[in-house]
Amino acid sequence: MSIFLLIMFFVLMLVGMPIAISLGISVVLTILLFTEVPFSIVIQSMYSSMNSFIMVAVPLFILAGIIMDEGKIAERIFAFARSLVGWLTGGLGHVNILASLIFSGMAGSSVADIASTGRITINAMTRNNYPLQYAASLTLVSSMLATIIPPSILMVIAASIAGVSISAALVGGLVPGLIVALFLMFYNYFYCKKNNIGIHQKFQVGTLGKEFLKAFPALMAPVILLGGILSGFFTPTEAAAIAVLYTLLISIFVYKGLRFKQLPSIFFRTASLTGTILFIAVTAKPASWIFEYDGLPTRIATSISGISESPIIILLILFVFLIVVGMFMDATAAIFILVPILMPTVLLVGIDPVFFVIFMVLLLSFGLITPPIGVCLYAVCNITKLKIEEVTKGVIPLILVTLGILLIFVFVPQLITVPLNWFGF
Amino acid sequence: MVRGEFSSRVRVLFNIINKISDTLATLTVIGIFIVVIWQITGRLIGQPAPWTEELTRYIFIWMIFLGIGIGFRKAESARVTVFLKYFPKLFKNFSLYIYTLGTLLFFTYMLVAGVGLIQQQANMNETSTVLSFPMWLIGLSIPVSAIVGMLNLFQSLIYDRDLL
Amino acid sequence: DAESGGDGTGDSDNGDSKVTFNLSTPDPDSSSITVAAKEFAEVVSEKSGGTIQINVHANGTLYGADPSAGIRQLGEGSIDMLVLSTSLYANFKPEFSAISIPYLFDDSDQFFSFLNGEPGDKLIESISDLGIKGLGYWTRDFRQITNSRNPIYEPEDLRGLRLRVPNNPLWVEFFKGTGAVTTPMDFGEVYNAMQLGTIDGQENPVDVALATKFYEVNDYLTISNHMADGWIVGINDDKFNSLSSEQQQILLDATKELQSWKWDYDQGQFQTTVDTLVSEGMEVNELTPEQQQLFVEVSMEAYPKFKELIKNDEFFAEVLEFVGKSE
Ligand code: NA
Ligand code: NA
Repeated sequence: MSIFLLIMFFVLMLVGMPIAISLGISVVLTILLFTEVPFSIVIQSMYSSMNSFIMVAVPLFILAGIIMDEGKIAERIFAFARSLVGWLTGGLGHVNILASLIFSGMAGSSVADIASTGRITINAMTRNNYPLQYAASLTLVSSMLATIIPPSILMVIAASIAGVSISAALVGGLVPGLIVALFLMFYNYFYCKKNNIGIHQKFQVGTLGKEFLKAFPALMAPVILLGGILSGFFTPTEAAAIAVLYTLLISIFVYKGLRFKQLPSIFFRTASLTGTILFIAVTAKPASWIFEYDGLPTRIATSISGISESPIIILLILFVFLIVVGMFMDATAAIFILVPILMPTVLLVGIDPVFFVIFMVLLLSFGLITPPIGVCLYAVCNITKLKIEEVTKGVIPLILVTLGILLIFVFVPQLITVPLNWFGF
Repeated sequence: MVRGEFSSRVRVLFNIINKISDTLATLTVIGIFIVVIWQITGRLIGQPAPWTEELTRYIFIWMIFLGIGIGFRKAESARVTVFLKYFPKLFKNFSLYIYTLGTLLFFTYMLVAGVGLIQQQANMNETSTVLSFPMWLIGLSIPVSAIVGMLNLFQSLIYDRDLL
Repeated sequence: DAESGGDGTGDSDNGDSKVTFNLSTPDPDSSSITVAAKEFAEVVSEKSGGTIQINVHANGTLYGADPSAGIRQLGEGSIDMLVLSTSLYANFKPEFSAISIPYLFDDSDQFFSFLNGEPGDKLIESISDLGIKGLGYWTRDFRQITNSRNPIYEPEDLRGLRLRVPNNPLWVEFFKGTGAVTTPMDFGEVYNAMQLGTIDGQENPVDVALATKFYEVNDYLTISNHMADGWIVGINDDKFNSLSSEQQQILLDATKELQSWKWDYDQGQFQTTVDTLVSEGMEVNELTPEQQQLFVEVSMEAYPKFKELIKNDEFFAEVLEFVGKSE
């Protein structure tokens, strides 16, 4: 019956039904057709899916993201990044990546990054003779960072469902994020050098100092968030509320980009956006009830671990599987459905669950930027008015490079696990 | 003329309902933010309140289910439309029917089963652990979500059909 | 391909139809409650000549690990059987809070006679209007305190200690009386919160401290025995009534049999667990009767609050009389 559910879900989804509704209808039908269980189980399960304090981090991080966007914080980050790396070859390309990196330390979602720093850097790049397609590609790929680097909505969700330490999963994304950013900068450097794009800009210490001071309150946000979690002042969920408080204070009182009367509409958008995003999670919960009832996780664990005992082979299989799933499925839905299914396998072959959660979020964040189904891809199309096909064509080389970077973590998982030890996890 | 008057009345009615649901949704976000900040502060100054964790979760449930319903006003609920353009035109109309029918069907399920849930909660006298209020007040968010969702679906069909 | 939800699927020699029930437990496979549930399933299968088959699902997966949802689902029949803490039934029947009043029982003998005696019977009969047949009680280890600050000998040692407690007034009111700073927190966040110093300690039966490796972040374990908790073995009422009276008796007997089985199992586990925790570097102290008396007094201070919580003055008086205490 798990198979029936999945097929039904994909068919409904592909004919344009909302993902959450597709899942919900498939679940109710499966219960009716295959079990004697009262079908009110679906509503019980939907209701308790959101009875979780940890998930409260999601709306709070979304709220912080909207405040940053409206509060002109992205502008300050952009100006600072430009004064810091704008003089390099391929300057604005580096600025694009660095701005995303800094923004990642405060924002929990990739779409938020595209809407704020992405919008600004694409404008600046095209004004300075970077091809629009390249600017769009770089914005798209660098937006992955917001999901990898703490804080991250997807990381919180995945860790919470997997039952592993949320602090550890969040902090564990830091080093992989920096590695991805570094490789992207290498790529940008050689690409721009080879194609001779970008205007040379002089490095000025004075400007850097000035922009640093202006950006300083914004730059402090990641420090406060990570520092607060690591020193025990607040839990990761509570950190999300601190992020809201802090960004609210600096947008209103320091950057003066936000007025009090804008707040109600910002709060309203947060509720609407969170409900929309988590609707998928709400209907994914009864789906995973069916999988458990059907014994699917155990069957999958037995068959995957039957293929090989080597964790590397298993990780490679999971790598391919998660990349493909990420391309065709919404990341939140994928996490809600797959974490309970895959966890027994992970434990059986002896993969560190915290590592797996980080690994999974890395791969699914890749799915956000790839066609045919990637929210970030759509967001970039929306900003640049390019067609999906046009953006896709331009981004393919960068996507291949990113895929290569992600593959490194299969063979050198220590890149994730060793830094975790440094932080004491 | 009469028809125009009728449709403007409908619009007014929709606006009132939207105002109520939107205000409630706004309040849930403010509520969550304040209660979580209260929780952190309370612990740091050594005066923790036992109700913060529970209250946060319950406001959150209301926020989610209100948000779900509201998300249908502008057809914001995530769906996959890339493949639709490769289908023939006839199928696109068909797909709109499926969208409407499927969504209505599921909200009907949520409404009926949701009412069942709150009846069960009321009959069983389920109360919250710390604040001791009846839990059907929280379960109520589900049928409300279904009604708000249906009303917003109709609105999107009337006023924002191009989004579908 | 589906597991049947308790419907008849065949006939056995003695005429009883064969049934399969799913049984949900809240904790992992290795936990004492899930071990006991599996033993229970075996005993039932044996006694019933295979006509009652019970499949155990650990970790609360069948009810999304939300205990109140578990109780509702048991009542409406989407779960056949459920083993859940008595204190979690208090959201539906406030009287259940009585069992977990700190230091209510003088010793485990009194605890047993309470559960198996009249007060226990009254409580378990009260859940029949939730659509649940209570087959009986199992016991749970008493709760102990772990923390990273100092050993605890008297209530004063808890003053200012940031202690994670379940989100329940029973705990909050009692520990407030000791001066501890109680903080409710999702259990999933507790380990890291202790590691990072957000909180100093927690309280649970000792097997929890071992299973979740709290010994890595807490140096002190105090055998305080501050709270008792029982398990209710519940079955959906309709499912129970669909059984023959022989089958019903088998379930009741097996539940009873497992009560002492689990107690013995837990006693053995307790010593092993404490020994392991010591070998992992924890410093253990057990409250002496004199020290414990100080905590009993703290608890009695809060009796008016507990009485409010139980919402049934008559029953509260009855309970106090049963254990020989007074307000
Ligand atoms: Na981030
Ligand atoms: Na960028």
